[in-house]
Amino acid sequence: MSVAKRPEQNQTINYPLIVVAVIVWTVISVFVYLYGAEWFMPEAATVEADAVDNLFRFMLAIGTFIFLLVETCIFYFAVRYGFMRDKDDDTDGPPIHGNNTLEIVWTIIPAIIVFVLTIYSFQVLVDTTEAKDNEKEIKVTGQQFFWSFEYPDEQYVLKINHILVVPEDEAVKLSMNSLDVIHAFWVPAFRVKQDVMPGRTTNLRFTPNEHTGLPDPSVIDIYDPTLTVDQLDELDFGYDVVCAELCGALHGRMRGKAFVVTDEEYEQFLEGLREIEREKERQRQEALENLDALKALGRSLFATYGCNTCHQLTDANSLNMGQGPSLNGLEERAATYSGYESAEEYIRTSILNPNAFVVSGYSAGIMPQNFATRITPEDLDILVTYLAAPKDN
Amino acid sequence: MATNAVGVYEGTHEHAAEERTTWWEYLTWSTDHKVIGIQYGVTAFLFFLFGGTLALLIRTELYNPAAGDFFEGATYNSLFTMHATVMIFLFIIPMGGAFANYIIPLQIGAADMAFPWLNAFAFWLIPPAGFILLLGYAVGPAEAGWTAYPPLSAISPDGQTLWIVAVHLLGLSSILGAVNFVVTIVNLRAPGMGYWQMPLLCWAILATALLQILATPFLAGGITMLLFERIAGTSFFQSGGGEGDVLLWQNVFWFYSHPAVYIMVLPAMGILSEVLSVFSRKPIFGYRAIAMSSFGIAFFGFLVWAHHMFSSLNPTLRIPFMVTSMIIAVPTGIKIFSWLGTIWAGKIRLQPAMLFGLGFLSMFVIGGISGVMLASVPVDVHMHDTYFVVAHLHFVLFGGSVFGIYAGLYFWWPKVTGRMMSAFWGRVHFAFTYVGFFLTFFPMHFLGASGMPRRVGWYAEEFTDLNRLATIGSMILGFSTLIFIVNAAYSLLLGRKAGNNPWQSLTLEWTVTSPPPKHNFLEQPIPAVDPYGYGTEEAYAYLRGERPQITLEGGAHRHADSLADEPAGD
Repeated sequence: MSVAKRPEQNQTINYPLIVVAVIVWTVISVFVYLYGAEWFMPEAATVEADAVDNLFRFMLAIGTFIFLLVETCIFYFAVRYGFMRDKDDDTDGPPIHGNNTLEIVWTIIPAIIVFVLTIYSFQVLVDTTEAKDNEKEIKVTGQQFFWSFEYPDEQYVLKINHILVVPEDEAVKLSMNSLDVIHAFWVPAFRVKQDVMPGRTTNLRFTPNEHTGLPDPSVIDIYDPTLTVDQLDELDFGYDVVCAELCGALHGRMRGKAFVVTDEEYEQFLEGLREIEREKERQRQEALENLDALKALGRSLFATYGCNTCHQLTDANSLNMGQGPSLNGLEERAATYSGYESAEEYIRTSILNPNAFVVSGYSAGIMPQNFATRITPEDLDILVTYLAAPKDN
Repeated sequence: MATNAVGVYEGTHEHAAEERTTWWEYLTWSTDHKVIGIQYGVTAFLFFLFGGTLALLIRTELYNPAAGDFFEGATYNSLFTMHATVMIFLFIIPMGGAFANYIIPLQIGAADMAFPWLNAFAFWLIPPAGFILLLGYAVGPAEAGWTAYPPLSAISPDGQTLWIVAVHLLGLSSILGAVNFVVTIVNLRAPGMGYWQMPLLCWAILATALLQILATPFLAGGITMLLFERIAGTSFFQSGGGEGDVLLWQNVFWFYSHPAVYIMVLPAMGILSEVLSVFSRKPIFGYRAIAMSSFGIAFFGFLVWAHHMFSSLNPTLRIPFMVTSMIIAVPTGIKIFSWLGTIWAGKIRLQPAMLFGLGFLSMFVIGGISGVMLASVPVDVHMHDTYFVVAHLHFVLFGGSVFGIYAGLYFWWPKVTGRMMSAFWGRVHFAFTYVGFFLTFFPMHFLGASGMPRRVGWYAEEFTDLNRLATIGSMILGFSTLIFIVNAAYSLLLGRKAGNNPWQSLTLEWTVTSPPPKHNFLEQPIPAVDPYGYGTEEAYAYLRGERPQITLEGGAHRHADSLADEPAGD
């Protein structure tokens, strides 16, 4: 490249082209404002979701304008001044070092834009998170690797895994805790997310407004405690409940379903939960003398405490997740482990202190170490007896 | 050459030109900043290949919605944990060190870094750290994500402990390197180079180094607590079930790791400023604005950390962090528009370095726009921990940092190796990288917004098509890297000789031979009055070999005196 004479300075600004470009960018941005939320966002099922979507498409439209401006400039300059350049011209470009007016403009305008966006975001934030009157409070517990929900009731502790049912057009407040690591409760259709942490109670507020109803009992029995997430997935309605914070090996499987129902359906759902509790009470009575009743209760506790999240046990409708050792045939195997008086003692020790004996092929520390504080003595007795009892398969 | 040179340069070596660097010097302890720069660069690039392979394994698993096609559970989690750790701590940050080490002393007219021994020590912390990290595969690798949130990271396999040790060493390396850059840039500039005559890479490295010195100790503090949590049964983060606070880690970690984003992207921005100006044959538009906006970004970079915690932080506290995060868009915007002003009406040479520079500009702006969206709390609460964030961070760190690194590699390759790389294959490499990158990461915006969380090996069937598109894109991206490697290898063996200044650049590194002589400058280097004065009479004269007259004032003498440990010349 030879360096020669100073180039003539002719950079004229093509104003008609700029006007056309600005019109095109504006039209596209308006189009994005109208349809942007539909392209990006899932269905919206809460009052808050509409507010978030409006904010999102507003930002997306402004972002689109800036995106088009910058990209058009880059590609136009690259083609006009690069690709179409006179290749025999070895001279340098015009020595323009800057332009104060331009530099002030492109400092002030973005500053104004982010100011507007901040104010708008602040307004949406306040609107979507403020406490409301007569909130329905539901307790949420996150643990590796499932959600459980507890509904307020005077008589029973109404607890169910995987399934969140909320009344339509009523303010809901979730009060959330974790039993082990950090999880994040997220329902994409509700546009709300909140980390769920051990040792802290966090809240989440929303007002659902898109009715789904409850699944038909002939299709899927949501009151069956051994119901799996995969079975819930086969439903073509209901909103996904997702864990958004990495919580361990089966983080991606930590999901559930949310249903938005009428007041009547909500009452009906709570009644269904009460019926489970009554059934459990009956089973507890019978379990003392009747092995079948004990096994029925054992299956349900196996799911309630989340054992089915990691351990395969065909008798309890639990699939192989590749995470913990399979418990199929445990009743025969457990008796053969040396150092234990009985199969029951081995099983009991393994629940309370999982690292005491680690099955080969699995590493210590995978199973939660805190079952001693999480499981009641009665439930532990039943679970141990159930696991040590002979099963059909 | 240098007819007007003032004879104060004391570093002249009679036989310097004959001293060649032998290959074993690159494998052993050397205090030559050019050797160390190449050591940094090659090591970082090898880790880039390793981290990239992990990324391809992740994308392969995600080709199908079901988990466990190839990897599942903890094994899958270890893939993205190691991918991010390697890319951040062993590739991008050391790669910034590679450019800074090799280029900075040459650009400011110094014979070496201020502390050559410390420089070598900082580099030699990296290979053992990488080895210790990889040793995790023997005991169960880290699998709690690169963010290592306790309590999960406190109960992960032993690889997590090795992860902590490795990150500790890499942090130390980063701090020591940064101290060296600051001292070198402040004290060793050649006479005639005031702060406002410094190339913008120097400004960017100065801002980066200050961030490294101020922020990295917080990472060290955080991982020390995490180490105690794992091996000494403490309960800083409540992982033992006792007192403590799970959010403490997130605050400490992000107080380092948000500035770390700028540690990763500012050097690439410095490279971009060099490349855009040289290949547009135009002065950089708004030199001072670009230089100072780096410091604006660095300053605000310390005030935004909790925007990574919008879904865990107390709701009231989210507001101030939303405000600061929005503000940081302004200095970033100044940079982007100034770069556009630089290429406007230029005489653009579409060399591979320039293509990657334009690629940086066009992709980084997408990361900037999604960044403003994520700064808004209500939108972020929905997007947090989803693939939208994965898209955003890759547009910043791949679209920004990696494109910038490639631009820098193509730009300085002739200087470092003395040989040219094929421009044709460089353009092919760019085309594959650009298309592959866009296909891989753009669909992730839609995936995340519509409900796919990050860090999952399993996903809902409805996300299949876009995930497959991303996987195909990643394969194109992986393939593009091979084109680069072959092109580089061919150039090393058979490439055309480069000459001193193949790009007709005005900065000092191009005034010496390619590769530069052992102690850089055989005579007193005289910097151009304006390092980006393309198109001016002075620039043409400088490129013809005429040097401006400089007067040695107090300041200039000070710079010259600081070379006093070199043997005295005349």
